[in-house]
Amino acid sequence: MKQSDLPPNQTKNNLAVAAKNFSEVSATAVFLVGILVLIGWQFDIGFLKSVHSGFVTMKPNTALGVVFLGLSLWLLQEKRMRSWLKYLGWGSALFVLFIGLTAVLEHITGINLGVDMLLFRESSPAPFTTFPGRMALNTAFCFVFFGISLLYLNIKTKNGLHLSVIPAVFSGLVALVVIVGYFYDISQFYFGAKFDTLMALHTALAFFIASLGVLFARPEGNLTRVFIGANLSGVTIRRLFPLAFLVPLLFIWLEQVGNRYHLYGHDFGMSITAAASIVVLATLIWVHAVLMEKKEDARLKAVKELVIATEEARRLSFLVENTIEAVAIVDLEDHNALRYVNSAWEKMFGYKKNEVENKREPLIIDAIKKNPALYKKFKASIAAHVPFYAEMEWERKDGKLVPVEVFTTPTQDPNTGKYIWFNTIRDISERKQAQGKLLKEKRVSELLAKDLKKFQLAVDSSSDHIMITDAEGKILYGNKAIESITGYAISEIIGKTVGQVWGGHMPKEFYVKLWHKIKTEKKMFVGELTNYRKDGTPYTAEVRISPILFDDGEVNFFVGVERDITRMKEVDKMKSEFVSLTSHQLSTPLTAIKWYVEILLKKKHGSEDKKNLKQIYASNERMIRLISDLLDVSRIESGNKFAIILKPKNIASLIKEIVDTSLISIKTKHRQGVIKLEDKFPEVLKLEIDENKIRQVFQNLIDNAINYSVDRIKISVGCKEEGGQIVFHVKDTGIGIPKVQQGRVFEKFFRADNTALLKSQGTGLGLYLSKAIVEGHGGKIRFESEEGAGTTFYFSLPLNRGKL
Amino acid sequence: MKKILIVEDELALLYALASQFDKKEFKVLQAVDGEEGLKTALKSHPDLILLDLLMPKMDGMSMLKELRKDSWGKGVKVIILTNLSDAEKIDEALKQGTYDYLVKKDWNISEVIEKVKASLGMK
Repeated sequence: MKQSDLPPNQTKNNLAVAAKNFSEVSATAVFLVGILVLIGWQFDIGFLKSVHSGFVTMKPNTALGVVFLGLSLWLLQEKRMRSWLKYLGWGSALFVLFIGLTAVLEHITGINLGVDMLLFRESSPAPFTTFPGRMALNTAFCFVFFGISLLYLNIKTKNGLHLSVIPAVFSGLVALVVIVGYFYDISQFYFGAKFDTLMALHTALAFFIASLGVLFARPEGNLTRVFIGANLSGVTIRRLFPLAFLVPLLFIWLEQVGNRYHLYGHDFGMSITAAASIVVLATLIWVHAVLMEKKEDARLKAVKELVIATEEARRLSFLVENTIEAVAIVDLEDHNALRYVNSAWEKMFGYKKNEVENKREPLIIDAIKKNPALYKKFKASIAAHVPFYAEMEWERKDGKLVPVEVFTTPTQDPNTGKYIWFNTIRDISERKQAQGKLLKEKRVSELLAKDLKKFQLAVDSSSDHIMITDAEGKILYGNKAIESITGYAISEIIGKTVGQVWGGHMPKEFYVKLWHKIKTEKKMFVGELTNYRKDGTPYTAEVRISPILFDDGEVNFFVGVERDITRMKEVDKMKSEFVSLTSHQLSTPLTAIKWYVEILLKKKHGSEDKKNLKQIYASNERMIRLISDLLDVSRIESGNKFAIILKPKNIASLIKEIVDTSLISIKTKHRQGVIKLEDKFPEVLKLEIDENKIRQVFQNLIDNAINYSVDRIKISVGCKEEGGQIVFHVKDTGIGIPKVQQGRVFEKFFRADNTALLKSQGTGLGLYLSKAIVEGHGGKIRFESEEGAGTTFYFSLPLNRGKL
Repeated sequence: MKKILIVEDELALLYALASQFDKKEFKVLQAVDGEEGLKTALKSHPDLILLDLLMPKMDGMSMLKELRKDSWGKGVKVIILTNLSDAEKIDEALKQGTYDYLVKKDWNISEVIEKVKASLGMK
């Protein structure tokens, strides 16, 4: 690109140099003219003084001025501007100005300053000379102009015009007029000869040359720039400008010659000169134009091609520069020098253009060398000049590795025959990542799909009836169990609300509670309800409805799981009935044993018999208690109301009674122990209780305390008032309940692991029933226990009922 | 001398109970089902009836209801003596104005007799 830029610049420079050379030569010529004239004056050589006898002489002062004019112009050439010589040049210019001003002053004021013949004397009268030795007025003015012009030679106006040009052109025109006058008849131009001196011919010629010299001393100026132009206008002016001078002058000269030999009359001569000038000039201009036309056409065509090529190149380079893919042009035949990289490349690898362009491109080779197989392939494709493709990791400037995809395409330069490799590099880290992610996602989604399928199958074929509704209760999904349980087809119920299909069978409060739970509290509702099948038969269902929430906590939809427990209920009822019936059937014989043993005991027996009878009685009592407990359990299980008959009872005396009985039973078991009654019992306090049941609770707790104490039994029983309730406690120092099992203490048939070693006879029903009894009274039961340290049970009974 | 009627289908229990009442203090009438019990009661007007609930022919509750329809029967003292301890039965019995509700297997005969004496104001 730069190479093609150079020739025009060179041409321009050459012409400028030529112009400057011309200026220097003209300066020398002017200088020499002045010197010759001075020699002419010195040795009185007429030819040198006036060119032609009868012509006006160049005055000695004029000659001196001309010498300095030439000298100044020579010294003020651009190339001397850096040397001290320029000061001499400006001094000479001042001198030229001084000579001109002096003469002008003499002409205007008429005062003879005595400078006219300072150097040489001129005899008087001299041809066309008013005052001998004094230069003509126009000559004097020309000196003034030249002086100014030379002083201003370096000064440029804002728009690039050299100020020196104006006075120089003016002087040149004055000189030209004089020269043309000499070609014709001098007298014709002797307009001021009666009162002034004429300008000498060689003065005029010197001035004309000097004015051209001044103009071309600074050829880059506005007026002269066109002359050194390499373009058509430059050619035109260089070719036609001299002709504009030469052709008229030639014809005027020819006419003068013709006149001299009287070949034709003056008028005819004038007209033929004019016509000939016109014809010749016009012809020359035509020839020039024709020559130019071809050149211009060729040039325009070239320009047009250039414009197109430039535009295309610009577009292409714009595209390449701004494409998102990294592009590099590599000269693989010149040490892999990078000739070009685009901005994406810069970005991708972290290098700046100027860091890598025209330097060895290390990246691709280094990257490829890591993989010997790839390097082999690469080398082969380079050698064969075929495109190369690879995925690899390239190192960025910061050392980070970028996974890239590289296309390397060879292009043969048609001019040089060399191969240029065009590399396109694409950052594939995202694609790699995406591929990895996609693979993972695919695997996950496959798994999910499998899982979902599994879930759907599971939900679909669950024996529980499962339903999904929106927040308003509209059914979105139902599983197969719905059809078998309710008799409704899924298609029948989808889109309807649950209420439309099954609503209204339960008391209003049930639904209020349900909606409050799932919509307001946003918690799972668990309840039992009676629903009706499509055919009208009722069934009992346990339903669990869970709200599924959005991230913001609003209800998204509900999942309802309903289990038909009709059968379970039936079985349960049968079980309860069985237990109940069995218990009742057992009750009668047990009662009979109890009563007959009682009768026998009243009679007199040997001590051995009495002991045996008592043993039978005690065992029977245990059986009776077990049956009672089982009956109670079956009642609780069947959901029947626990038979609690409330009557006012003095609690203190009840407890004393129980404690007394227990102390006796401790004695009969041959064990050591105390049961301490704390003294806070309100002696007259009466509570509304079921005496037998509460007795059962106390008995249970004290029996446990006894049974689960290892050595000495130490039990304390007490109570205190607490928020409208009376809280009893039974405290022991027994083996305690293992921490891990404390949650199961109130389960039925539960017995702690650490009781196995003891010879206790618990059924595991005592605490289960105690809890039911206490709760049946509106109280609560709890305990604190530490394994190895003892247990304290607390239970509360409402106080207000006792204040009757 | 107080007259009491024991209505009990289980003969072993009936004899055991009847045998323990002091002959000097009580005249003990016996019936083995509700029907017979009702007949005996209405005929003999005992001071107190010990009534079982689960019985053939007529159960205790039906007999009690019939009894309460009678002008004499509506005032007679009745103690339910049964092995049924369902809350509903107890409620129902108490509604019929029974004096007490005793679960047989929880009571000794002597305790039952104490109850009877207490209800008759004999102590």
